[in-house]
Amino acid sequence: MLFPAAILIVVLLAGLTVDGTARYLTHRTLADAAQAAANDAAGAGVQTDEFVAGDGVPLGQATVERAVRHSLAARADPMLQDAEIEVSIEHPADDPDRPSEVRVRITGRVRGVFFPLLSSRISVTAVATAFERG
Amino acid sequence: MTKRRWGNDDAMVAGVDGLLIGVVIVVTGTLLFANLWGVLAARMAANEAAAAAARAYVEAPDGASASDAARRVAAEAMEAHQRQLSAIALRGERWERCTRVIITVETVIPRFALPGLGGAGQFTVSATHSELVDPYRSAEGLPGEVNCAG
Repeated sequence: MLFPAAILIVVLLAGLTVDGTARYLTHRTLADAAQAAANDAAGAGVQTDEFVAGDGVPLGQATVERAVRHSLAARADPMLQDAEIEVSIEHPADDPDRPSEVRVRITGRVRGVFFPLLSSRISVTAVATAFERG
Repeated sequence: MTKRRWGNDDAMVAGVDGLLIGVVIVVTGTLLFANLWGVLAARMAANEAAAAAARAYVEAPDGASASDAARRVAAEAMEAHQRQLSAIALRGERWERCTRVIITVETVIPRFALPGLGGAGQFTVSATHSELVDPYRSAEGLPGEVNCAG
């Protein structure tokens, strides 16, 4: 009786350890990817004509999204393959001193040993923000 | 009153058995956790090295020294984590505005390490990081158009 119980405990603890590690690793990977993508987008997304005309540092949605997409694709990470990516730009119209902001939000799925038994989808989300100052 | 004799150890068997299993659980769990943490730590070190190398490349003072700077910084970052840099690959090496450099850093770790006995086999942990050369950098001689939208 004691031995099967002990084996069960070992298997449960091992599963929790592996799943916890997988969750942590997934979150770190997504956070790093989001950070790099936001950083690239803030630099690449500046609309040059408006910038040169002295209209602050406006960011173009299409250019920002393309920069984020290219940044994530360059990593070629399997954890990012089925991830949901949201890109938003905030232009502070009321406060000209506040810089434009790029926000990248990535939600990815955690692959583990026990997580798939508990739920069909255990996910983690990482958010990164970058500013562009003139 | 009779004197009790302690020559028989029958009653101890169950206790010793439980103790043994407990020790096995603790040792196995600790080794498993330590090995998994080793993978995580290696991955974080590789990621940090790749990011530092990409930053060194895009911030280099000129194109000639950019690749060397990236390799040197990656090695230094891995060394700071007491790990060996086994390989580094740079793709898209063009020191121009708006171009992307992709850097992959690799390190090897033991497949299953036992304290004092080393590991059985090894596998590679890698991390990739990419970064754009800033279109608005003021570096002298930096070629390329100041517009990433095109």
